[in-house]
This record gives sequence, structure tokens and C-alpha cells, in this order.
Amino acid sequence: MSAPTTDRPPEASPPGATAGSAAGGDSGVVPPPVRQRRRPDPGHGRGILPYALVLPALLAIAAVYFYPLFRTVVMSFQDYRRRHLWSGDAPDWVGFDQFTNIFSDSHFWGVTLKTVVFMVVCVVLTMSLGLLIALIMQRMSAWVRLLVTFALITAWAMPVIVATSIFRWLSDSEYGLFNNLLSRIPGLDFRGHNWFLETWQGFTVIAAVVVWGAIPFVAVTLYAALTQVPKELVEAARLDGAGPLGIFTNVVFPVIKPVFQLVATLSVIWDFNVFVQIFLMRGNNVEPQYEVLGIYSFQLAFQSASFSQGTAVALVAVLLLSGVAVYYLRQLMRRGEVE
Amino acid sequence: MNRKLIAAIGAAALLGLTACGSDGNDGSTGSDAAPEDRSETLTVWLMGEADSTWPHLVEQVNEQFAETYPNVKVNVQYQQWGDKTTKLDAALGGDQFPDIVELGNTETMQYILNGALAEIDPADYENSDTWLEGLETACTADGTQWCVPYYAGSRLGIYNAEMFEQATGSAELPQTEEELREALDALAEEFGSDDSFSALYLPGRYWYAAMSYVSAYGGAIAEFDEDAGEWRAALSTPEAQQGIEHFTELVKTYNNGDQTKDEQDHGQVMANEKSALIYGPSWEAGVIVSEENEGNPELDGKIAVAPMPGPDGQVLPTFIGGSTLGIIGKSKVQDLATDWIALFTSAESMEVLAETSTLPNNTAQLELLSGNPDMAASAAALESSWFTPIAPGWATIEQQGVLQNMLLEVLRGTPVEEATAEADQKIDELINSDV
Amino acid sequence: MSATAPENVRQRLRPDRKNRRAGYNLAGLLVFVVMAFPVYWMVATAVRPPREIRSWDQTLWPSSFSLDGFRTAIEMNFFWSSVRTSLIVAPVTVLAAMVLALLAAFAIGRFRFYGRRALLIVLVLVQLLPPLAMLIPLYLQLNAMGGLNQYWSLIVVYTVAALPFSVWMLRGFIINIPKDLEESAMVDGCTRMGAFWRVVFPLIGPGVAATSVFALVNTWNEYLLAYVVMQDNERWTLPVWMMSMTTQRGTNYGALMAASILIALPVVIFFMLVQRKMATGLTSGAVKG
Repeated sequence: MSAPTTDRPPEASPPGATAGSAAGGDSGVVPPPVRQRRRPDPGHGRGILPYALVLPALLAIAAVYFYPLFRTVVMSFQDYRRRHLWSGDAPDWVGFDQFTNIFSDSHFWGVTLKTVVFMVVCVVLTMSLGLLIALIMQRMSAWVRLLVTFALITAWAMPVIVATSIFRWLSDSEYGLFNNLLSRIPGLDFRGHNWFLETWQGFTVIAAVVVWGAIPFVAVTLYAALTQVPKELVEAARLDGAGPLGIFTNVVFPVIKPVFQLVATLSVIWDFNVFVQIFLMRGNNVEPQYEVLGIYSFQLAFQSASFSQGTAVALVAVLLLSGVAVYYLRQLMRRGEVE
Repeated sequence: MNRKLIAAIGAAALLGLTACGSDGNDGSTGSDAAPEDRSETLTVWLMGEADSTWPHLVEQVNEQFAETYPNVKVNVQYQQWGDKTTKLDAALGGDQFPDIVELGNTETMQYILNGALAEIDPADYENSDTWLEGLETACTADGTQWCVPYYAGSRLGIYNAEMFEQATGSAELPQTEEELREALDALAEEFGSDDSFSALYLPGRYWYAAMSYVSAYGGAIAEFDEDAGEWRAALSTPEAQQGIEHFTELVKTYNNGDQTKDEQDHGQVMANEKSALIYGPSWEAGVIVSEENEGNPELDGKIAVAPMPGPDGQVLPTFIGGSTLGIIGKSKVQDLATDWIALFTSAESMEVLAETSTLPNNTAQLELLSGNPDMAASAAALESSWFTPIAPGWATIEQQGVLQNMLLEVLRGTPVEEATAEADQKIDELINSDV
Repeated sequence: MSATAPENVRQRLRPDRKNRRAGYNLAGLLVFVVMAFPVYWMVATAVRPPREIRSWDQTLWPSSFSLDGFRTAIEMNFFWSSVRTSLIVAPVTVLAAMVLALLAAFAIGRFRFYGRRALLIVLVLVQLLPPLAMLIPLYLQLNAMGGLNQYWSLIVVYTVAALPFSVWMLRGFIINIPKDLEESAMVDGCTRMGAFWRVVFPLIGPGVAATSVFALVNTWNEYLLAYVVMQDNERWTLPVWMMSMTTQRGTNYGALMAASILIALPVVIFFMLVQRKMATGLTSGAVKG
């Protein structure tokens, strides 16, 4: 195996410091050299150590995902039906048929467009509201912060199925609280208004559940990241006359950026794959107008005769998503990964 | 589709054969062994209702079964409607699968066509000569029987007798639609001060109800064309259009709530006294007054059921719902499964089911029930019935909400001819393909 | 958070600051109301008379209170066995995911080694995999490995599902810790790993806390895989048990809401236990520069 890039610089710390446990005992003799080294080299370990550290995680991931992924890919080039699954008979190979079918289906493109728009709206709302909440959490009184934290965590802990049921009741045309409250505003009459007749209105209710459900994770995570922002730097910037926006963009955001990007990427993935909320909101029977890629793929796989179509749609969705992933990784590489 | 069907059934039969062939491999536990020497495990997947509504029946049958097979372990596992088919699909691909499985009658064909179930011999089961037609057809493919009818459900008028009495002087549901309309007008008059009160609450997307009216006029969703060997959509026929117009007219006239909903909440409408009459499954009358299911206990004793009057002085034909029991083709204990199902669907067991407002699987016992005031109405409602097309693409049509969208279009003002033509086109596209 | 952030103490309460603080508090209360309302609705639904749940005259406040829903839920079949399964699966999963993720995140955040970029890319791509489409193959794999009805199969799959996120997340926290700190510890005689455990680990407390909450919530609430893999009712997890309240003959929503409160409770408790970590974060003396 090729050696890890440990390239220890010549002026590296004295033997006692690097050699690890062997010389550990007599370290007191060595004067602390920390200040002399402006840019400590990251590749500081013994050659094998980083590999040993990542190996367990990597093995676990490979063990669980490798075969299912392989099978899923294979399946999308076959016509794999229930009877093949149940009897073990070999299915027919169909080459790229599943994919050409998908690409020539206008419904698929409509579904894809809907999915992307829904995802973008939800991610923008989730991230901006989540960040806003994290920022004001830093600035509010302790007792208010306690209340907000409590609300966030109880909302986070609430099972999605329950949250969705509740939003469904609240938005019901006949007994829903939303219509009831909206109708009290002078000039509005929402009594008997069915939110799911117009697709965009229905998606608004669905987006409300999704965003509401995702905010706790985003806010709590970003709040945790914000605790890493050095107070001295913020104070110094303030003394230098920087405004709140300047402090945020120049001091605060660079620190939370890795976490922010990660959370944003995850939001993209989740909202792109949104499934449960729509499924339950439409009473387990999703009309074509509410189909997004996750639903579409599931229905093709489990409510039609062939698993292959569903897996093919899912794989196309993965490919689309990896566009986002590549962008994310590019950003990361550009930063040189060393921050 | 016929050829495809036959091929599928051929494969299924072959599967059944291999399964039988492998029987008896494990010495004394095989089917040749004496019953008391059998020591296998029989796994049964029933839906949650068996646990929540008739657990005593399961217990009783297991005891009876143990008398013959004292050493066989019966492993009953309860399933959930939401994701049961996903779980079953996966399980049938692995080594641990049930020997007996309960299937909804509309989802049964999917499993038959894909060769999951073993052939059954009706002679093994009590009252099989009078099995309800709707359930029996759900189990039949190409003249062969692949599953056993379990229980049935019919839909009928569920009404608030007190409201009827107050408005019309009679606590009975009228027997003809003409009289019913008079009564509904009187009800609307009497309780109309509440502008969300609907004398009859039929939600606009309630396609089971709409298709009952279609069936009443002699129409159908689709018909099998023997010559062409495939299904053809039939909603554009004058009979079907008449039925759809009849239904939407009732919705527009009597439903003062949200006309665009489906039937999921109609029990709630009754419980809140926002309606005097709904059309639903017989057990729903119990839910409306049950405290724990958000019902209204104050209505206890006031909610009654009766066959729904349909057009032309006839009873409105009802959709037959229900469940079937299948034996998995790969099961190594098919003979045990047969014996267990025979006990579970025996006349004695069906009587226990009837006590829970559940209809038995055969007409012989159904007739006996007409003496039972609680069950007479639901039994009578089965007088004429309809069932969804047993076509390979039906599940997709249902899932895509083709009928619901059609009804919604009509309610929004699209002419019936146009809406049904569009729906027919969609149905023709999907109904014969099993993809 | 219960702990007051250090900056608060330092702030002089001049009138404009005071006003601003009041403004933030007001915004915070608004957030509280919006976020807590559905939770409140869940609790109200659990304790109000079932009739009011979907009544045409919705009231914000229940007309009377009853704990019947909780009693019904607890007395339901398979409740206690589901509690056991969930209590076995979730903690082991979270612990395993945290340990594996910390090790990997430390390696990625602190070492330059061949294949590191590839690893980072793999971790992102793994997040993209479609769980639903892979359900059947995953089931077949677990079946072949004898994992049906076994706790370990859920533990392994849930752990792996939590790993990519956890590694990325923890890496984000680790790279914000100045390396000088570890180096001075190593100068003081710590080994590389020793320095990590003694110096870095305590400082990424907020990250570990947030990540473990994430892993716990996802594991605790997972439904479909648990339902499909755990064939026996006695091996149901809590979410699967909760779903069994929905039958064709209607749903006892009062009991369902009570059940979901019971299910959410351990997560909330866990969070309350770790939240102090998240609030303290870095002490000002420990920061670079």
C-alpha cells in the first residue's frame, strides 16, 4: 500500500513529542515548542493510524450497502418482477429499456420538476429560518432560550407520522383549525376550503410540515456550531467598527460554514427524497398531481408488477442528486480541506 | 392478457408442485406422519382487526387445531394494512415467510398472478358451495381456486334514526329513493339552520358509492371483451353515465359540507351530527358511537343501518369488500395450513365473526343472519353487489385515482360525457398491462 | 439552554441593548409558539375527550382531561416488548455510531492520508442512496445472513445509516479545534490518541451532542425497515407498535397521540441530558490566537 502523506517537516517536534507512548514519561524535560510552529502539519500520525481509524466505519458501510446497491443497479437493467423475487427464477435482461422508458415519459419530467422546485423552496426556507433561529437564540435571555430549545427538541422528537396527522387535521376543510382561524380575519372566508384541490396549495401545507419538522435539526446543529465562534474575534471585529452583517459574513459564517454546508446538503437530500409526509397527508393514496420522485419510485416499485421501474427511477434520482454532491465537494476541495 | 395470465398460472402451479414435492423430506415431521407426531411451526399472518376485534376467535381456532396437532406451534403474527404488502413481498423472497396470509380481496389477484399462492380445493372447506360470489371471484383465476374467502363487508345506509323521526315522523329509513328524497328534504328543512348540516352526506370523490349507482343502472367500470381477450373501459356507456350523473346530483343537492372530499371522514360527520345519513360499511355504525374512536356516545342507540335505496325502487348494489386467506406456495406445511384455514372459516367460526358485525363468507349463513336484527340489513344489502374488475392493471388505476378525478371533474362542471371519455381513455391505457 | 452564554454576562445593559434583547426575546417567543403548537396539539389530543379531536367546533383548550389514552396505549398488546426492542436497539446504535464516527472524523480532520478525498466523496454519495429502492435487496441480504427478527440487524443498518452524516458533522467540529492544543498536550507527554481524547474530545462536546441526538431521533423513529425485518410482533419497535393502532376500523387517535408522547419522551430526556454540553461549547481561553 502506498504510504500516507505523513511527510514530517524537518523542524518537527523533538522525539519525545512525536514518538508517542514510548517517550511519554519524560516529556517534562522538553520545552514547549508550540509557539514556534506557525502551521503545524496535519499529517502527524504514524503511517497506519489514520487507516486504522477510518477502517471500522468504512467496513461497516461497505458491509451493509455494497450488496444492496449492486443488486439495485443490476435490477434496473432487468425486468425484475415479484415472481422472480419469490421463485428465484432469473429475470429478463432489458438493457437500458427501463431508463429509456422513464426518459420518454412526460409524467416523469413533470414529477422531476415538481421535486426540484419543492426541494429548493423547502431547503431555502429551512436553512434561512433555521439559521435565523440559531442566531437569535444566541442573543435572547436564558429563559426564552430554554423555552425555544424545549419547543425545538419536542418538535424534533415528534414522530413524523404523528406530526403529519396533526397538520392534516389542522388543514382539513371541514373541521380544520386553519380554516377556522383564517375565516376570522375580516374579508376572508375559508370555511369548507379544501387545501388539496389546487396542487400548489396542497404542496404549501406539505412544505409546512416538512420545514417545521426540519427546522429543529438545522437550528440546533447551527446553534452548536455557533458556540465554536471565538468571542474574542467577534468582540475585536466589533471594536474595529464592523456592523452586524460584516461580523456575520467575515467572522461568524466562516467558522460555521462546514457545518452549514453539511446541513444544507442533508436538507437537499431529505427534501429531494420527501416521502412519508406526502404519503400520509394524502391518506396513503397519492394522486398523480402530488407525486414527487420518492413517491413515484415507490409506487412503481411496490404498487406495480415490476420492481425494476421503481429502482430505475430511484437511480436516476440519485444521479440528479449527485449533481448537488459534486458541487458540495468542489466547494470543499476549493477550500483546501484544511480549515 | 389471457396468455399472460395462463403463463403466470402455469408457473404458479409448477411452484406449488415443487413445494409439494419437497414435503416429507424431514422424516417424521412430513405429512405422512401421524397428526400427533407433527411438530412443525405454522405461521399465520392476519391483519390487525383479528387482534383488536376478534382475538377470541383466533384463540378458539388455535385450541381446536391443537386437539388434532398437539405439537404443532401456531405462530400468529398481526400485520398492518399500510405496509403489509411491502413486507409480504420482501418476506416471500427470503426464507422466513408465512404459511397462511390474509389478503384484502382487491389485492389478492396480484399475488395469484405472480405465483405466490398454492392452489386450494374448495371441498376442504365448509360452505364452500355457497361462498360469496364477490370473494370467490377474487380468488379465482382461470377456473382454479387460489384462496379461501375469509369475511365480507357490504355498504349500506347508516342513519340517525332520531333525526329521521323528528323530521319525518318515522324512525325507519325509507325503502325507495323517491321516499328517501322526500325525507331528506324534510330533514334539510328541519335542521337547515346549521348551514354545515347535510341531510345526506355523500362526499364527491367517494367512488365506491358512485360506482354503486353505475352498477344500479346496469353499467360497469370496465368489461372483459371475450373476443379480443382484453378489458375495455365502460364508463362512457349511457348506463354508466346515468349512474354518475345520479350520484353527483345527490352530492350537489344534499351535501352542504366540502363536496370535494373522499369518504374517510364521513363517520366523523355523523358523530358530529352534521348529517342524518351516510353510506358506509356496516361496522362504521359502531365506530360512530364508540367513545374511543372519536365517536359520539350520546348517539348510542340512535344510529341505525338499513339497505340503501337506489334508483328504480331497487336496493343500491353494494361493493363487496373483505378478505381472503391464501396458502403460500412455498410453504412446507400446506396440509396443516389447509386444516387451520378450514377451522378458521368453519360455520362455527363464521358465527363468532358475525357477532362482531362482520359478514360471513357464504350465503347459507348470510340467510340465517336475516333473522338477526343487527346483521339483517348488511346481509340484505348484499342482495345485489358489484366488484372491481379483476384485471391486471386495476391496482394502478385505483392508485392513480382515475375514478376520483373523474368525479371531481364532473362536480366542477365538466360535462359527464367529456369526463367519462377521458377516464375511459386512461383506464384503457392501464387496465390490461400489469406494469 | 440553561447555561448562560458568556457573552451575555459581559454585555452592559444599556437602553439600546436592552431594547434589542427585548426584541430578540419577542422573536424567540414567536418561534416558541410556532414550533410548539403542533406539539401542544398532540398533547391536547391525547388528553381531551376523543369526540373533540375532530369536532366541527375546534377548541384550543380541552373541555376535560383524561389519561385514558395513555392507559389504552400501555395496555395494548406488544407495548412492553416494543419498549424492550427499542431500548436495546437505539442506545447501542447511537453508541456504535458515535465511536466509529469519532474515529473516522478524527482521521479525516487531522491527518492527510492517501485516499482521504475519495473517502470524503464516498461518504457523501452514501447519503444519496435511496433507502426505499434498496429495501428488498437489503432484506435479502439480511435474510441470507440470518438477520431477520434479530436486534443486531437493525443495529447494524441504523448505525451505518447514521455514520456518513456523523462523520461529516464531527469532522466539521474537529477542524475548528486549533491543532496547537493537541500539540501542547503531546508535548506534555500525551500520545496522539491520548491528546485527542483528553483535549479534542471535550471540546467537540457540542458536536457530539448534536450528532448523537440526530442519530437517536432517526433510529428511534424508523418504521419501515423495522416493520419488514422484525417479522414477529414481539420484536416490533415502538414506531411499528404505534402504527398498529391504525386499523381499517378506524384509529384510536387519543391513544395514538398518547403513544407518540411516550415514544418522544426518551428522546427529549436524552436531549436534556446532553444539552448542557451544547451550551457550554468552547471556553474563551481555549480558542486559537
